[in-house]
Amino acid sequence: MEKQADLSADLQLLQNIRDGRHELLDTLYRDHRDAFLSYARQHLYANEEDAADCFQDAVIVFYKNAVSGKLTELTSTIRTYLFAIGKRMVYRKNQQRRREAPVDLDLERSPADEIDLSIFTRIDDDHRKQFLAAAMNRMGDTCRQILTLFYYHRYPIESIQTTLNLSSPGAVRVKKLRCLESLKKMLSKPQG
Amino acid sequence: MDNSNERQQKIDDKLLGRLEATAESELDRQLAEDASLQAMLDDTELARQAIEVAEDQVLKARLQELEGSLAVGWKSRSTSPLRVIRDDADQTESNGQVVPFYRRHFYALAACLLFLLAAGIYFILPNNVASPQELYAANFEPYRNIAVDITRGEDNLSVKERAFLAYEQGNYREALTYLGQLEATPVNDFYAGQAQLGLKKFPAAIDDLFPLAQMDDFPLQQQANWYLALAYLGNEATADAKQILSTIAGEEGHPFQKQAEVLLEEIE
Repeated sequence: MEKQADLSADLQLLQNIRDGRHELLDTLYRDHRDAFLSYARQHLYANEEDAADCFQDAVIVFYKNAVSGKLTELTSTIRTYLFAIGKRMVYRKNQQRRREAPVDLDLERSPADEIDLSIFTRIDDDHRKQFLAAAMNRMGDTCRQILTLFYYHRYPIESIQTTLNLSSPGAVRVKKLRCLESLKKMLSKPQG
Repeated sequence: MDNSNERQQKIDDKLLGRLEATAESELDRQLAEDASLQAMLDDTELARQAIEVAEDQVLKARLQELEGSLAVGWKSRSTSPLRVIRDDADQTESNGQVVPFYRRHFYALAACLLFLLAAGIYFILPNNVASPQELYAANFEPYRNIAVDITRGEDNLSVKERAFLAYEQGNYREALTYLGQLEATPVNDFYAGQAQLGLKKFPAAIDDLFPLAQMDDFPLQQQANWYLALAYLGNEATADAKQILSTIAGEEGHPFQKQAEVLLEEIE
């Protein structure tokens, strides 16, 4: 019964996140952080710093799956999803650090299978990441906000207009197109 | 909406997973036949990756900051040398214990040395280095109005004429109000950028000028670059300003080549 209530509250949270309330990321983190850190230290041989780092990545992956529409229904509570993703992140980190991999009977079948982890590993090359981020960081504030709200947080044009207090949806479209062209142009220059 | 906008919209829908199956198959067929459409898709995907990487970093930094505030208890158990000294000091305050004399003496000596070092640096280093904002102020001159010919003294001025009259008179706030009512053309954006610079609203100026500085077919592209460099300077993004100024300084015939050379030297 209690689990059912948790699931229903989580479904509401998922819906709120999908509706554009990305500040709820902080709530997710705060609500489940202590439990995950304690679990990761005791069962996954992770130190506190690595566990926190992995849990941050898990929250981001969960968020990206939610807003991209890859995760629309929950078969477990959000905590179970976050733990499953975080656990994979810790294994990866442990492997990188050549720590001993713990035996995990859950690994073969876990809620993390419903999550697209490639979202996290797609761009793994640090140099390339730096090049891509630098191009974005050179954009003006409004351009950066429009492109980020549209392509990352998946806001509809009308919501972007309201959020950024722009004059009309048409103005957002024109500005978005112009900003996108600028970004493409910057990215077409060879990497230094 | 022109053809290019429609194509971009379809590509956006594809990349964001918003296309129905039949529409996606149709687009895939077009992509296979149209190299320019495929190039547009590739460029947009690369731009989307840049947006993703940058925002991942923003979210990560936000969660790291949150972690910092939540992990205070754990951090206080850390045993770094600095932490040991601070913990000792904290304990002294809370327990009322006396700090040993030799340690007090050591702190006093260290404080004196730090003061002497700081004073030495202050007096030895030259103090005539201008700040980025001072350099902006020394170099900013609003670009003359070449967009609208205004007949002064007339009562029935159009919104555009009012915008540029206010601009010429240095009433940048008023100019921006009128410019905001006009169509968002590159020329109008250029002068809006000038007005923002005049008001020292540097991030807004960067917003207006940045896209124009990338536009090869915009007649004032070179000017937009110069003013964008000034906006970066005003915003204290000196590295970005230097990068643009170096390009201008190396471009023969650029209307601001000489100014860029001088400004670069001043920054250095």
